[in-house]
Amino acid sequence: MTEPPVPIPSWAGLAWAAIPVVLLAAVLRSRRLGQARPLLVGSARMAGQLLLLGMVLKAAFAVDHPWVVGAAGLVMLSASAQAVGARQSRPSWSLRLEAAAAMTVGAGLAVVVSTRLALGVAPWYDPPVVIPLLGMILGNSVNGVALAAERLESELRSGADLIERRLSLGASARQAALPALRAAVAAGLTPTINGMMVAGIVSIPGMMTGQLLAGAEPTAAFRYQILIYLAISGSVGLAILVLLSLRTRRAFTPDHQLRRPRLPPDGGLQ
Amino acid sequence: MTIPYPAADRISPVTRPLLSPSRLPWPRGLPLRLEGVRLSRGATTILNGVDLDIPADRRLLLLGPSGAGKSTLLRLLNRLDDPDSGRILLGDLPLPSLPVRLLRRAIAVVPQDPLPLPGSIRDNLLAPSEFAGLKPPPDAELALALDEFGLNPSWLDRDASALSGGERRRLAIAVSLQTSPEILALDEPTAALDPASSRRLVEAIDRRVRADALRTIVVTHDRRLAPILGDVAVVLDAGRVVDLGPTLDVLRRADPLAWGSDAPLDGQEPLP
Repeated sequence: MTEPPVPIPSWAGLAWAAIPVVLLAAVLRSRRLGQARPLLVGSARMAGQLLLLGMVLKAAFAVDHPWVVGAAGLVMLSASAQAVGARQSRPSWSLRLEAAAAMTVGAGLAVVVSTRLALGVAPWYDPPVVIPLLGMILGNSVNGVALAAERLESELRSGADLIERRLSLGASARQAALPALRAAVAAGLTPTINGMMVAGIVSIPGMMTGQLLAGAEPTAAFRYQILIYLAISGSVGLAILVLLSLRTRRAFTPDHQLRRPRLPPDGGLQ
Repeated sequence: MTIPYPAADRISPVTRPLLSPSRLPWPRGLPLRLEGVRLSRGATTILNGVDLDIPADRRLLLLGPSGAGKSTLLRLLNRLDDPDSGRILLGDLPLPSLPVRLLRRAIAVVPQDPLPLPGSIRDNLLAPSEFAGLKPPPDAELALALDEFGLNPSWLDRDASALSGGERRRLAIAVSLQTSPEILALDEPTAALDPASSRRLVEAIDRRVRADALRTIVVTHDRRLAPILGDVAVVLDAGRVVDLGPTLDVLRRADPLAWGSDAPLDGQEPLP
């Protein structure tokens, strides 16, 4: 480890850094604009969670064993599936399970490609590389997968009449659901694509900023950032495709019938 | 007895993809039979044991008050839904034993207020051949299809969502006929149409019935047009068949008040 060219923030330094947020909360409260409490709770949670993450990662890096990476992956994956479920208006266990499966495929492929082919990490499970990479990929996957799943459900509900009209004209389930699937793919993938569109122009990505602050060469930092973007967009897209295919299969019977959502006990429709 | 699927006489065999559903033969001319058909949604029973024989050479009317289960019955015919119990047979073939996409091309069901598919009127008319992987029919044929139902044949490029309610219904029927179905099921085709438009629509359907041996099953509340729309009538009430017979006889027996708000209440004689 070389000595970083900039000082690492001390605890007192972090306290200073909190001043704008505390001021903002005070203003929000005095003007009765709301959000003061969530802002403070969010800030506190963020600090606590990252502190914990730092300690866990330090311990994990020290153990340096494939099982540690596997366990960390499992924990992150189940937290991600839970987060996807929490963002749906009608969460279900099937959705969480299918989201976990979809993100396993997407993130798994992206991590293997980045570590084995792009970086050639040794050993293959090297915790300081694999765990942060997996974390970044899953964090972005949660967003894309949750948006796509929510959009698909709402399109299938609001577009049920048109979907059944297409089925009545001889369409397959996939043909009938294609417009809904296109909308869901767009909803899930747009944030990732937009992020790449403005990368380096409007914003310096967070990971690259962190590397530069930690003293990395800008040329090395941008290569890492490209790797991250490619891994993220590939894994998000793949996870969305897997999830949408699983959800579509669930939305139709094998005989190309649209399953109507279960009605409340009092009936509802005629 | 099986006769090749009717699309064969419109589209040359060479252009039909090998595995397209339209290559399979559809068993024409078989009676439809419903045996003890029941369907519930949640705690509501919609069809409560319907037994019905629909001969192949009759045009059937489905009558009855709103909520009697008429629309649901049509959904069972093209298998958008399946009954909870009981079965529907074509001849002696249960509907689930037929390829479902072929079934839906052969038994065309037009819902009561059909939304046009997004896009132009041409897109709508081409949708059935696109779904089946068939060669799209030429514009001239599409224009004829529009003209047949009183829609301007030069409207192919118009946005279908700009059509009025009555025009949408006529377009939906024209689109459904693009699959050359054997049976056409219509849900209240003349509801909220002015008398002249109703008459034109009914006459267009009637021409098809005569020219293509099209069989029809029509849900209606329209007492005046009923005798032209079907020669046999079935009255459904609360999910059961409560009357059945020649249309004029059924209309005479029926209580006009039981037909919901669309029915004329003055008890006028139906047109011959």
